[in-house]
Amino acid sequence: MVEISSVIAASAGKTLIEKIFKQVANRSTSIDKILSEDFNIRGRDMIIECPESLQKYSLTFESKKKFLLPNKKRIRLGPVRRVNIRPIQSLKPIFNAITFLDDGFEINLDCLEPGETYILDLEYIISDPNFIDSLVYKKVAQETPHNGVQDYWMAAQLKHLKVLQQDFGYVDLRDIDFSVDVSIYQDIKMKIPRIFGEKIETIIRLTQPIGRSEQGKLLSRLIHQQKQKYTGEEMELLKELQDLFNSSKFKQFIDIRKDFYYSDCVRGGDFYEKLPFPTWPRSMKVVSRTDLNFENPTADGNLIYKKDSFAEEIGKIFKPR
Amino acid sequence: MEIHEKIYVPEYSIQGEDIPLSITWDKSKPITISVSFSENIEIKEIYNIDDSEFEINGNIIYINKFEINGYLGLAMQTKSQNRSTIDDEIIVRINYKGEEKTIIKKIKLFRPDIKILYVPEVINIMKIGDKLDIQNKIVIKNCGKGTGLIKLKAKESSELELVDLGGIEEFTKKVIGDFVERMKKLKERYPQYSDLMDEFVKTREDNTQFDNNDTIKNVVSRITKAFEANREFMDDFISILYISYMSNLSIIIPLESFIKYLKSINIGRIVMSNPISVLKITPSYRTLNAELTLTDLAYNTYEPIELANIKINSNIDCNVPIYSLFKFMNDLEDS
Repeated sequence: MVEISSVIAASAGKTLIEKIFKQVANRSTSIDKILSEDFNIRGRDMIIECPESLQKYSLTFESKKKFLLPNKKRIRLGPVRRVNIRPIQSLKPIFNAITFLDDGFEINLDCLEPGETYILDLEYIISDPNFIDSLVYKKVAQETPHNGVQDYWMAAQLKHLKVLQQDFGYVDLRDIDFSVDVSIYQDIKMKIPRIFGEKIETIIRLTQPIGRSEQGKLLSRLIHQQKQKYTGEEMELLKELQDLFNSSKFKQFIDIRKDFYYSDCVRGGDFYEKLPFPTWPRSMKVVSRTDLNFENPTADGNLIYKKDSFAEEIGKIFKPR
Repeated sequence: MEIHEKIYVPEYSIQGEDIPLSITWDKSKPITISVSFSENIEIKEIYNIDDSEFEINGNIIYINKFEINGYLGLAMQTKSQNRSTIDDEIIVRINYKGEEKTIIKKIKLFRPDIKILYVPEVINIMKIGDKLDIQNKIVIKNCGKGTGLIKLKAKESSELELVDLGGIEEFTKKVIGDFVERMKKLKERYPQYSDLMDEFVKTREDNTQFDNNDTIKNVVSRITKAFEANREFMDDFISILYISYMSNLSIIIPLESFIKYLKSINIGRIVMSNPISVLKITPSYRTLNAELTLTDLAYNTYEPIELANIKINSNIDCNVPIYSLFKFMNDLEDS
């Protein structure tokens, strides 16, 4: 028998989400109301940029009249992060049309021409750090069971669909972040030549306090081991190996498919998890993004890690000379 | 039945992890849905319905109405099972105007399955020339498809103890000391993260903290959230960590860490989670009384594996890296 004792029907975080969307909707309604006194509003669009938790609201409007005297339209709905006005024809922002205030901004109406259509772009910060987690259920594969092709799944679904439906239309959620830990440690191990490891071990032992006779033996072993030449010295080779974990290099081994797209990658969990500094990674953290909206409340995709190509690249670093 | 349904269930998951299920269909078509699960799965949350709009009967959930027609989301949790790999399925039945359509989605649930194949009564550690010769190792194999992170822990009753020694350990202490000093200014600048920074240092200083995966998970998750909320804090935090690291770095550290890294990794999906630990040996017969603790990449913990008392026989005083006490089998060696 399945245990379904603790099922929650979409109530988790709903209060928070409804509160935030009420604030978001109130802001846009108030702006519309203030501007409609002097302008004809032609269109509205709202998106939420998830990584920065930004509400982006755009209005297209046409001025009804010529403002002869200096005249300002004040919009005091809290601090705005960014605002600009652009004529739809040139799309070039009119910088002196906006003055920032502590609790909002004002539009200098004498900078606007009658009959011209303008776009007003506004950005407000959604300050609640739990906003996206309360709105979107995100899951990714922690590990793949396959030894061959490494295919990690990623999935997103909206917890609360109805809140995206607003009076002016639908709110879009953009660039929702997902990070997948791509396991790489075994691929490194498999491609490091045994003799290279033995040589490093000898060097380490030579730096430790040892007797003269042992030192002699180790030195003769090192001379023997140095017969096997690589394309660089030990530290250079290790640096080249570390360079593979840089985003610009590692991204070539990643392919993102379906509803997601690649954003970035960084070194993931360290092999020595007790150490407070990076040494050798157990995985690479690959960040992908997707969008959700009222029409598309779910997204699924795949992250393909091209482990054969990665192993081949390591092989090139340790190629005998 | 033309309702253009799209059903998503991932093809696999580590046992004990959460998995999603989503169904979308033509918004203009009113349908009812039932979803059947096996005993390996629990439902956690249902999205886009009200509390009164679903019914549970045994291992089937029936949903008759949706807040907005055209979408249903489920968050489910898989359970850890005795069998390390299970081929499971989720059955979705969609009813539209009295006509029923059945869709079966398959999912593989897996986990690591660490087995001790051989525990020697005596392990002989002898110095021959300038090399340590270790005879009779503990033989271990991962029979599951998930990566197992193992950690050898000596019990209180053990005559031999495990310690962290060597250049890396000394280096770690210096880095942490430097980091704590530099962190004072950071704490003044970001008082809201002061406690979090203290907890971070504590997890790095105190070995026992790492026996508790929930603590690591919690601190890591809170730091990640703090980084997401405040990029400036993230940059400053990483910067002082990097400076502490670089100012203590000597050439031997990267070499030593690399060698231990290589030696602790095993092809059969087994990783030692305390690679810098060593067993302190004296020239005598001493008993090692230990257990192996096990976690996976999703931080699920498993029952520890008891190792029978092992006599360690040696002719020298030395520190033996713990990975050298094990022989790791993989499928290739087995066949």
